Amino acid sequence: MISYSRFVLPNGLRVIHHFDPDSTVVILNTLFNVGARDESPDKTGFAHLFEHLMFGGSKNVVSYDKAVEHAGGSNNAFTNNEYTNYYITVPSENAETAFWLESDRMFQLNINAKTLEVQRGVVVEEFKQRCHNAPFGMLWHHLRGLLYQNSPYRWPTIGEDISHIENATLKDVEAFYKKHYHPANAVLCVAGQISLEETRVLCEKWYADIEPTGSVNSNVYEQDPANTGRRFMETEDLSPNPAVFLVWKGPEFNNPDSAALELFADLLGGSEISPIYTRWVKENPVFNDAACFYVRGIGEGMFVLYGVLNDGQNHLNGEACLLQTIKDAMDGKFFTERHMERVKNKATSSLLFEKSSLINRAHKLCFFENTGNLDAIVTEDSTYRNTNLHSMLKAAVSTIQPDNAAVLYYHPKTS
Amino acid sequence: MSFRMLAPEAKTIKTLSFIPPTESLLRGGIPLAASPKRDLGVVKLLFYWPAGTAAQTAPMQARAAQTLRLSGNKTHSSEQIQEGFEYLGASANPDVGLLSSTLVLQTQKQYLEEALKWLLEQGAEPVFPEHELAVFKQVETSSLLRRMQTPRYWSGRLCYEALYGKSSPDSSFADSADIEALNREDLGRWHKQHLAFSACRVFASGDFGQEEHAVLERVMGSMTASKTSREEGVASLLEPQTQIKHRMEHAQQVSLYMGKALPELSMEAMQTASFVNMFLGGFFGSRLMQDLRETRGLTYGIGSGLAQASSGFTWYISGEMNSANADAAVEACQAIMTGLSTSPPTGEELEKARRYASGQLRAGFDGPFSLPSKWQFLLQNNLPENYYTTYMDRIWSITSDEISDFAYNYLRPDSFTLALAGNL
Repeated sequence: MISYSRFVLPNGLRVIHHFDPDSTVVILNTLFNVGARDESPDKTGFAHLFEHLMFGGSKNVVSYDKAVEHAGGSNNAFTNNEYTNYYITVPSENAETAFWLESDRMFQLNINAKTLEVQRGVVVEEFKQRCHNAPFGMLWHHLRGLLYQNSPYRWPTIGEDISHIENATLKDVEAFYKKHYHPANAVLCVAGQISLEETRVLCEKWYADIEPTGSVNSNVYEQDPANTGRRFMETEDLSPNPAVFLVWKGPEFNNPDSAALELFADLLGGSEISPIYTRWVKENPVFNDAACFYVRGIGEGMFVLYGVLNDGQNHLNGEACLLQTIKDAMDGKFFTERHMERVKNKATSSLLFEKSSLINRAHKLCFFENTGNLDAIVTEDSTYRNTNLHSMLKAAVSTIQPDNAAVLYYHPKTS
Repeated sequence: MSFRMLAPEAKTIKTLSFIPPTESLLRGGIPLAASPKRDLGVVKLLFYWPAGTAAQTAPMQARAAQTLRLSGNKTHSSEQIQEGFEYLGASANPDVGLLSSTLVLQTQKQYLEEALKWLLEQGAEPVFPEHELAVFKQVETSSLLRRMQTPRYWSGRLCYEALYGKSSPDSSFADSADIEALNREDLGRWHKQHLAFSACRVFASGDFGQEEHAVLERVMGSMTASKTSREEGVASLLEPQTQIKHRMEHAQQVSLYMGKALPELSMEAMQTASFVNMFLGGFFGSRLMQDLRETRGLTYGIGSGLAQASSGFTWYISGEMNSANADAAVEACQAIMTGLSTSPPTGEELEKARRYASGQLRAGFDGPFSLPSKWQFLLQNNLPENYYTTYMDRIWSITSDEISDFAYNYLRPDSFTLALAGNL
């Protein structure tokens, strides 16, 4: 059971406090309600670029990292299609340093030509390392591009094209900061060895005078019409093994079908005893790896099913094997009440282990607040527990239509 | 003047206090170290055996044996065994390092007894079924071939092979033929020799109190501990080569890997090496990270560290960069290595590293599952229990001159093997 208190500052900053008596640290987790879906189609990768720029110092902090290190702390961040999350961990004695640093970069980030130039270079190298230099490195570009036509979910967090980052101007990034990086568009979680009273005092001191510079992100984005028919793409990749990927759009996080699809994906292809794996990797080795998973996004979900083909196997047969298995599963051929108990027990354990980490709790509290339903963190397990075999299969049938898949074939590079 | 201009006072962290694990022996003599109980509803049991890849007689042997130990026995198939764990919401995850093999059982507290019994019943006498071994080979080969497409794989591999020799336990990289050569008999022998539950140590953490201790006694107490000793291969060292290059047609970047063997360090030297590494590339404020990434934008990431070796450690620097920047990056790395002895850390730099290192040392003990890995490190390196507290003292007592002397003795660029792979 996770305990927390919530209050809102007059400038709109939502603060969640979570006390952990066993911890020796304090974590400030700041979630900004801006992700890749909030970017312009010709300026993609900005939310992620900002993740880098946010460490370049602010009006009163010459060097963010230096100050964190001086306090014995550490920090990091990540970006996805829907939000950007920053976290700093400091020894509890130095909690106020974290308030100073996090509030100052929300207040007035120091974005200058030099910082931008260096971080553009860093992000370009990251793009190459992750996307061009690794097998299946462009996977999310391809899958999202197949699944979405106009929606901003069609590009991955790192950006649609490396040139968008290379061409980012100071004016562009300043406008992005002003629009999205302000207290009314953020959630702050203060977690660890710190009292609620001290949290209130420090929030009041460090955050109360920061004026919102933009409106709260309404998260309205261009929606695609429902996909109809098979969409297909084939391309070459560094992987020496060919592969087949199938993907479908799914419901948003707050939709109960979302949890049901997560369970369905786990049963269908989430482990080595799943039908996908046992049928096609072990019994009839069409693939040397095959699995499926459900990406539970706040606004959009994604059901992904894939197989990496063995030598001598072809894509068409691989696709047919995957589709037949998913069809059999939805026809009720595989799963029983024992399977449901099993997958729910796994989900419960997974949640308990996840929440045993302070940093995960701090992030999750911000995440749930950002979904508009903070209290759902307490009942998260019941969203899985309340799913039954019937509702799980119903969710699967309504999301996964075999003739409606986005299909990607990877071939080994020939040159 | 705005109050924001004044940084809050950041206190220094000079002491490390934590409740060490409670060490005891189960009835039959199996050692148990239990972290302080936390009210979480979940328990983690880490089973530790002092034999890893350094002791194997063929590449992949240790990993295959540990990975496949739950893949079937005389009464249950791999699927039945796995289903038994999953039904309880539990998992048993194997891992193999250079000097040890581990198995981590994660379970809800209420299912601890069932999950533990299941693990001991199913993992005690594996038969390594032929078809499971075939799947393992197929999956591992395919995964290896994918890794071989990356410059990072080749720079690391070539550096280690040049440093220790291809057949050394410290560089036992497997090829497809090695994977293909794995056989049930060898795995069975390895398991019998190294992975018996009676030869393990147990580290418990999470919601583990008296009741859970009693569960362990009930399930494992009757096992008579068998004697084990640390298994080591024979470490070898070659003369460092100045430079190895591996050209990869398709690559868009170059991966750099520099390595040097540090055998047989005393505890104090090990602590000094750890701290000197901070300045080199051990954290964001290090010279490598600040110069190559933050000042010049040459790389997304570059860092250095001390990797466990069969005897001592391997000191390494590793990073990826645009091929046009590779020469500049190599020169910068070498200049920074030399610079640590010719330009010792200033008082400010020393203070920064001390503050960061001490804060991280303490933070490393935070959380319910932090202690087992700390104790595993001590065991593997024959270190005393006061290693961490004395490291905190060392952080605050070491001088700039000691750092530069250490860098002069151990960080000379010509004593490192350099491997570059990628778009050269």
